[in-house]
Amino acid sequence: MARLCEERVVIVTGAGRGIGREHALALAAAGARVVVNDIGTALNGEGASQTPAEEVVAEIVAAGGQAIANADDIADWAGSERLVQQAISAFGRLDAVVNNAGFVRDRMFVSATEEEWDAVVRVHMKGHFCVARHAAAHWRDAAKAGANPSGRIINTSSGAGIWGSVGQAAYSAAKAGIAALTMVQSAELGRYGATSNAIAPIARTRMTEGVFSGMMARPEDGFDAMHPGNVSPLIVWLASEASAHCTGRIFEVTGGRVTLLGGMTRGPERDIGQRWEPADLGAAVTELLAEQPAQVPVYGAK
Amino acid sequence: MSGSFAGARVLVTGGTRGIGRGIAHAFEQAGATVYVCGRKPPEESLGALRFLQSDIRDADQVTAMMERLVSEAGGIDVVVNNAGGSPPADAATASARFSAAIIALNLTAPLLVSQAANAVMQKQERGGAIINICSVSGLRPSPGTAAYGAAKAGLLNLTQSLAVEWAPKVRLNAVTPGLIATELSDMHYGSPEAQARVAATVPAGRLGLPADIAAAVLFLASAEASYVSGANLVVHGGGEKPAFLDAASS
Repeated sequence: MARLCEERVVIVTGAGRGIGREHALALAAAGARVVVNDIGTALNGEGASQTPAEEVVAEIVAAGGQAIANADDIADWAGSERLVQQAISAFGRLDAVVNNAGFVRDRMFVSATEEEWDAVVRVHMKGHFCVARHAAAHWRDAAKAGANPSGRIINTSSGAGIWGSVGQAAYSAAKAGIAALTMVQSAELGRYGATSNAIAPIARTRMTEGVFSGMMARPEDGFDAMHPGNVSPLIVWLASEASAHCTGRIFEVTGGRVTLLGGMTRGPERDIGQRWEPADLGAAVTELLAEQPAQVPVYGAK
Repeated sequence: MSGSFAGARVLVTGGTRGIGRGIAHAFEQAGATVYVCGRKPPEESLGALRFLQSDIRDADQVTAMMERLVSEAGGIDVVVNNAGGSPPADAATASARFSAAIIALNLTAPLLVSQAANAVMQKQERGGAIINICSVSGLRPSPGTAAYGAAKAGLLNLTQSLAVEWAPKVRLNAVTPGLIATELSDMHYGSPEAQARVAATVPAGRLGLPADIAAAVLFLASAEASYVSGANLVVHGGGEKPAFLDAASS
C-alpha cells in the first residue's frame, strides 16, 4: 500500500531541530522527498551552522528515506528562491512547503528594542511570505502548463498569535500575521490547485523547555503528550494529496489533540443605523463585553 | 570563486560516493559549480555539491535532469560519465535481466547522458568536454564480471566514435582506472588483509584513490587538453604484472 506522501517533494524550513526536525522525519517516513532547510542558529537567531540540517538528512537517509540539506536564509527573497529552486532542480517538482523556521527574542513590550522587533518579525512573517511566494509562482506556472499540481502550504502560527503572550509582543504579532496570511493564501491559491493551512503547536522544544518547563516535561510514564513528534502527523496529512478539501484553517495541535481554531465570526454587536455619540459608546461597549463569551487568557497574564 | 575551473558547470553521474565523489570534490575545489546525480540522495553531506535525482538508464529522466540543470545553471561545460559498477556474477548462470541491467548502466546510460549533454554543448560557443570512466576490466579479461567488462570495453569504443562525430565542439576522452579503494572495496577485494595482498600486486604498491582518478579527469577537462580527444588515459599504478612471472620464479 502506498504511503501517504509517496514521492511528494516537501520543503521543511527550520528542520534541523525541534518540531521542524520531527516534521522532516515523519514526512520522509511517509514516503516524501524532503528538503531539510536550516541555517543552524541559536535560539535567538544568532550564528549559523550547516550541521543540524545535514544531521537530519543523514538520519533520514540512514532510515531508508530521501532528503537533501539546504542552508539558505528563508527570510531573504533570493535565499528562499534558491531553496525552492533547489527542490525543483533536485527532484523535478515541489508539492508542499512547511513553514516552521523562526526564533524568539522575548522582552516585555515597554523595553522591546527595534532590533529585536525587526529580527523576530522578519524571520517569522517575511520568512513565511518568501518561501511560499516562490512556491506559489511555481505552482501557477505548473497549472498553466497543464501539470495539475496539488500544492500545499502549511504555516506555523501559535496560540501566542491568536490570544497573545506576555513578553512576546513581536512573536505574537508575527504569528497573528501568519494566521491572516494563511487566509489570504487559501482564498487566492485554490485556482492553482494549492491549499494553505496553519498549525498552532504546543510541544517541548528549545523554544519552550525553558520558560514552560513544568508543563512541557516528559511524564515519568504514560503518553509523552508534549513530545514534538506528536505535532507532525497532522503535517503529514496536510502535505498529502488527501487534504485537498481542507484550506484556510488553523489547527491547535498537541499530544493526541487536534482543535480547529479561528473560524473568526462576529460576536455580540449593536447597530443604531447612524453615527454614534462617543459618550453613548461607553454603555454599549460595557454591555457587549458582558455578552461576549469568556476569552482564552493571554499566555502568561496574571 | 577562484580556481582553474571557476565558472565551469560540471555534472558527475554517480557523484554521490566513491570515485565520482572524489571527481566532484576535485572540480568543486577548482572553483566549478558541480552537480551530481543519482537515484537517491546520499547519507553523507553533499556540502556544495548540487543533487539531481535521476535514473540515468531512463532516457526521459536523463532529458528531464539535463533540462533542470541547464534551466538553473544556464549551460553545461563538463560531463563525467562515472556512474557504473557491477556485483560479481557467474557468467554461466547470470539472468538475462541482470546482464541487460549491467549493460544499461555501464554502456547505454553514458550514451544517453552524452547525447543530452552534446545537444546543449553544440550550441555553446565554447562547446564542452565529456569524460567517460572506463575500467581495466574493459581492457583485459573480466572473469566474474563479464557483462561489466564488455560494457566498459564498449564504452571505450563509444568514446572514440563520439569524439569523431561531435568534434570540434565537443571533446570526448576516457579515463581507465585500475584497482581503486572506495566504499565498495570490501565487495570487490575482500577483507582488509585481502585488500593489502591485492595492493601488493600493483607495481605502485597501493590501491588507487578517487583523487588519483580525479586528477586525470580534471586534466582531460582542462584547456591544456584542447587537442586531446578520443584518447584513453590509463590510471592503474603500472597495471597487472603477467601472472606467469611469479609462477615461473617460485
